[in-house]
Amino acid sequence: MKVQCAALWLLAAALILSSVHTRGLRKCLISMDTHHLEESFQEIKRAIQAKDTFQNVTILSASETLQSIKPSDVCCVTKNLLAFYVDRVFKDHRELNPHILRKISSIANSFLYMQKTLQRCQEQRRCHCRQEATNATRSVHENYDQLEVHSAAVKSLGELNVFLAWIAKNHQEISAA
Amino acid sequence: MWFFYALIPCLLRDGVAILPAPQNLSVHSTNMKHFLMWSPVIVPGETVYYSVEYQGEYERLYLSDVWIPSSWCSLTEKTECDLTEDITATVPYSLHVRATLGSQTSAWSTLTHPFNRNSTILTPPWMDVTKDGFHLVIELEDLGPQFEFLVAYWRRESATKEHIKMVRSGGIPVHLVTMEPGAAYCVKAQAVVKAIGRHSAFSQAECIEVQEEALPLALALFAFVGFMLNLVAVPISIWKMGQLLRYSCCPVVVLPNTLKITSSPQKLISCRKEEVDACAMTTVLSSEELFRTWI
Repeated sequence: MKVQCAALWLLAAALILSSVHTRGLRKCLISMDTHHLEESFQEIKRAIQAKDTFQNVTILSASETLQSIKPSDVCCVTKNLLAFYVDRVFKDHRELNPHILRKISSIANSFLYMQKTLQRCQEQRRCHCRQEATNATRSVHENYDQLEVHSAAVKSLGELNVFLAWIAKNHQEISAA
Repeated sequence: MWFFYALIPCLLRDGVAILPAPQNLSVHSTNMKHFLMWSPVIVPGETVYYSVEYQGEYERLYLSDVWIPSSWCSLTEKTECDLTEDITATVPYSLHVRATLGSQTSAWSTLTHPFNRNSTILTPPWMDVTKDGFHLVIELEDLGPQFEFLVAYWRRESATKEHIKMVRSGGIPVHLVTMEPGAAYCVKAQAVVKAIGRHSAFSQAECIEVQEEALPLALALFAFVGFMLNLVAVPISIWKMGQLLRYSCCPVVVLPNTLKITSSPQKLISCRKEEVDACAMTTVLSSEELFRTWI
């Protein structure tokens, strides 16, 4: 009887701890409104996508990669994809049109702000990267590397709406939970 | 100004004048509207034009040679530039401006400290508190899509019981509460900007009162009087109707005084004999004879 009671207590404690841990991860959210970013992108989407000469290839692979991300991996994947865009895509794309340049600058600087927000979570060890999340973002980098750098940058820019919609959906849903 | 004139000889290089760069750059930002300002470059008899460029933290870290022309301030005559549409992220922005006169351009003059929009001054919002019948309605000033408003309202006599309502945008009347007659309600509001995680101070509270309406009281009084009148009038009416019906259907026949028998019936029968005969003769006349007497 005593052994059974002890086992029940241990199970309850484990359940409580795991829910607290999960909630802690869930709370690592970007609380900014991405609506204005989506609006900024909509203004330049046609011009950017018109430059994409590889229509049959996708880098973010929305239906396979992003949609299958589990809630516990959202922070890690968000952090990694923000770094993908900030460290590679925006740098590799050189825009000459001032209007498009302003919109890309707005998105790039907003991504920098989001990275700083998630950085705090990382410092508190609330943005742990599991193997699945790491694999998902690695495949994005591999897709990018398969194309010539300027073409890859243009294609990734053209897929920004996919990434922005995913951010809006995942960070909003979790905050509403 | 004389200082600039004095400098002109010093600025001559191989006989070519160098246009001075604008000075005293500063940013004035209120309610997420950002303006870069600078002192004018004076060249007598000439119109000097100015151009502004900006560089976000991203460009500064990753693309240091990239400066972006501002949306509204390329070759402008004004000595201020509205950068609201350019500064769109909550990161430090470097800003610089130069003067242009014909083929001459000055050096870039750079703002000393990069500007971050989270340092904008947020002022308590203007609000218009009105009543529509018993409805408490508020309209807040329209400060743009980045602003939301936190509205607090309470009954004046119970100031500790504050109710909170979030209003998503200004410029539209919003219903707060349906007020109780005779009560006073107070309202205050603050502006909230989620993009920078800050809010303004609360506005001064405005109070509004709803009068007790006299009309319902008069109506109640009138209804009471009417009810009491009905309590008296209805029985009287019923009684009168009953009387009317009785007279109509079954009237009481009242004999005239001349036909009233004041004596006993035996006395009537005992007429004198000759009077009886006369009475009898009189009664024998036939109907034909009666008719002749009429004619």
